[in-house]
Amino acid sequence: MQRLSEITKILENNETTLDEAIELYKEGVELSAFCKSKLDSAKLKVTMLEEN
Amino acid sequence: MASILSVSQINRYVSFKLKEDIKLRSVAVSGEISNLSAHYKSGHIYFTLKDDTSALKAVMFSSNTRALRFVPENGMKVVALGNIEIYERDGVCQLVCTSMSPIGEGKKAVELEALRQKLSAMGVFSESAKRPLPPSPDKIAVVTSPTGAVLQDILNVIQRRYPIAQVYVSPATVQGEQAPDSISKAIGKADKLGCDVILIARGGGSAEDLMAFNTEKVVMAVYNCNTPVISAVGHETDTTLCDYAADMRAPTPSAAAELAVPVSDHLRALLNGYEFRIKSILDKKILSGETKLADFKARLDARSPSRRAEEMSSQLSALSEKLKALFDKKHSALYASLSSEYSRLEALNPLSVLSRGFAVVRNSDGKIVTKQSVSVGETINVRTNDLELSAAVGNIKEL
Repeated sequence: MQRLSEITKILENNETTLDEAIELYKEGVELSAFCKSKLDSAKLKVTMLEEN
Repeated sequence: MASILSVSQINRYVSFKLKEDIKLRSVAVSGEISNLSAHYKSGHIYFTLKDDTSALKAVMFSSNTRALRFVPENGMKVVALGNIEIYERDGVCQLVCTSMSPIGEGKKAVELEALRQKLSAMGVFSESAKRPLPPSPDKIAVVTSPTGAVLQDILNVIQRRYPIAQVYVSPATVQGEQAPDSISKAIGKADKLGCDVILIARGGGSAEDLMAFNTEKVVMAVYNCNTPVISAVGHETDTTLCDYAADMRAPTPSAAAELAVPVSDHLRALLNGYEFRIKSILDKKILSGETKLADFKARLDARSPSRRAEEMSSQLSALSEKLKALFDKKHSALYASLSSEYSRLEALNPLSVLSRGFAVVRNSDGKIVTKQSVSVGETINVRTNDLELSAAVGNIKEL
């Protein structure tokens, strides 16, 4: 998430060449997909307490 | 001495007497139900109606009980309609009830209202006692039945929206006699865990089923709870005192879970935000690149050899047009001057002089006649416009 935030900032500064921008874009999209799949597959941790 | 009668005869007589009396037909009797006994198999119910001093046995047969719009309970005050009869077999006077309706509110409702007022006066339901819910609850406790759809619904919502949370289930019996105790104990246990929020949830049911959540025990457990509580008991239209005592009320268990994890999925939203921004920037860059490229191409095209050739060709055409024009002009000018010269020349044509009557005179040598070149008697040639004369000189006179 941090790297993704970095990438966004760099691109928004508009100092990059088209080639650099394409590279960063690729990385960004990959990171985003990775994070999303992590979220999707995250399993909820459920603890059942003893009944009275 | 009166005649000796049998028991049956007595009973029959009394029965007859009662049946005769129209006052005992379709009477409306008010009293409190007690000793209620319902025979599920037959559908008949047997009970006693009592007031402060007396009691009257009553029966309601299945054909009539089916039409009942409420469930009769011991302690309920009702008005029962029916006939007073003697059951001949045991000589018991009873009300054969054809219909029944509760007077005012049921006893239970009255008791509940009293409890509500008592608790309200204690400030259990006041707004100021309510705590705010934490925005990102990492530890969530759920007080509910461990079996059933309610727990699953809650877990599904949390899994979908906030799977990084930790959920603790404090199981309880949610209806019946054990329920108030079980629920309040479960709340206490959940409170001790130090969670961010506690969800109390129970599915829909009758007023009876939800009764436990109207008890003082449960309400006080909620009120005394240190952790914020979200209550989702029954359907949207059901309200119990537990709902009022809680810090937040939800219409359904799923809604309670949604309320508990309100920051719907800030991580996913953040990711979508980044993605959108990155894509926008790329699109912009590509668009600006394309525009620059088009610009260069246009400028290049403007200087291309084929363009140059076109330019030159049109220059050439223009020049040759000019040339042609000039040439034509010159030609016309020349032609004009030629024409005028020719006219002048024509004017000087000796032959036209001849047509005016003049003649060309030559000597025999063909030379123009002058003082020296001619003598008398010589043959001269006279050429007029249309005649050639040969003559001899007669006389010569100098002018």
